[in-house]
Amino acid sequence: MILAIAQREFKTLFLSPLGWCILAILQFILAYLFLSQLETFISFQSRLASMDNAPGLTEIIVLPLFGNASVILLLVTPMLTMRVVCEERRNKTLSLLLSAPVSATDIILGKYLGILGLLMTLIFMICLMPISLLLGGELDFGKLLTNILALSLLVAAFAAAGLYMSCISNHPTVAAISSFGFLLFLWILDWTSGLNHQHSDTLHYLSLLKHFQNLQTGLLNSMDIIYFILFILGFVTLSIRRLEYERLQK
Amino acid sequence: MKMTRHIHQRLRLKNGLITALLMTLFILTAGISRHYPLQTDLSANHSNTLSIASRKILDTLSQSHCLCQRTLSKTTD
Repeated sequence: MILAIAQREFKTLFLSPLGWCILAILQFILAYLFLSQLETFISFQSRLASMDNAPGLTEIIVLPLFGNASVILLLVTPMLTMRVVCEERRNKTLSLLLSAPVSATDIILGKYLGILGLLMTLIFMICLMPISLLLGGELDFGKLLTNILALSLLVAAFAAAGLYMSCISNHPTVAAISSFGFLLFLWILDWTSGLNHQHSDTLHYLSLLKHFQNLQTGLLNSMDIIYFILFILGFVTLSIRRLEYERLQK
Repeated sequence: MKMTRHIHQRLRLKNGLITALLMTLFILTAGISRHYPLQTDLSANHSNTLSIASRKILDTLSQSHCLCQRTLSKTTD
């Protein structure tokens, strides 16, 4: 049942022009950034050749590409998740879904996997850009792998938070703005500790950016991976509970 | 089965308790993962890991730093 809901959700995203527009615009912006980074690398190549332990293609092109993609996806993911449950509620189809012999877990997991399908397609398309560099150079595959993993986990976390916001809001715009605000808050959470010259372990741990940046360096740390997994599980569980609560209210 | 007010309240309470339990479990797991981190350096030339030579230098530095501090405290006494 979960897969049937996920397939329906995935198809719905591609039936509307929103999914296609987001894919096209994102690919265009990231391709522009990728090519400008490539140009920078080519202009510095002669100087880099004479340096010891000079940064390679991965450090100069791939890392900034994934960093830029994470910021753009922070803006884009709430737009994709805003209508998942919210629109069903607005169209009065949520009552039908809740009265069907399907559990709230199936509904939420199906919807989440549908959104995740689109986002993973997006990440796959982003990955094609660094892979194309293999035609003329060498890549640090360890770092590339951790970057792909970091972006996938980050986007999955964005989607989980967006899904929950969609569950608790009555209007898609409110869901989008609140999930963007919440994710941005978690993104910049660690900045304040730097401003006051005070180091807070809790703020440091809660910051999405810190865990993403740790993984980006090529260091696979269990703490960062568990943080993302717990973040996803937490928001998916809250979404399921919210839908269960709504079912009880009816 | 008729959904009475009592059953409704019990279901809501059960729902809330499960959520609270799960959240506590997640927080505990996060705490454990913070205290016992496991890490692997996947970068090509292990750029995030200190070499054995560097670690030896750091060890001698910290040992000499401790020695300095001890001598300093003795002279002040």
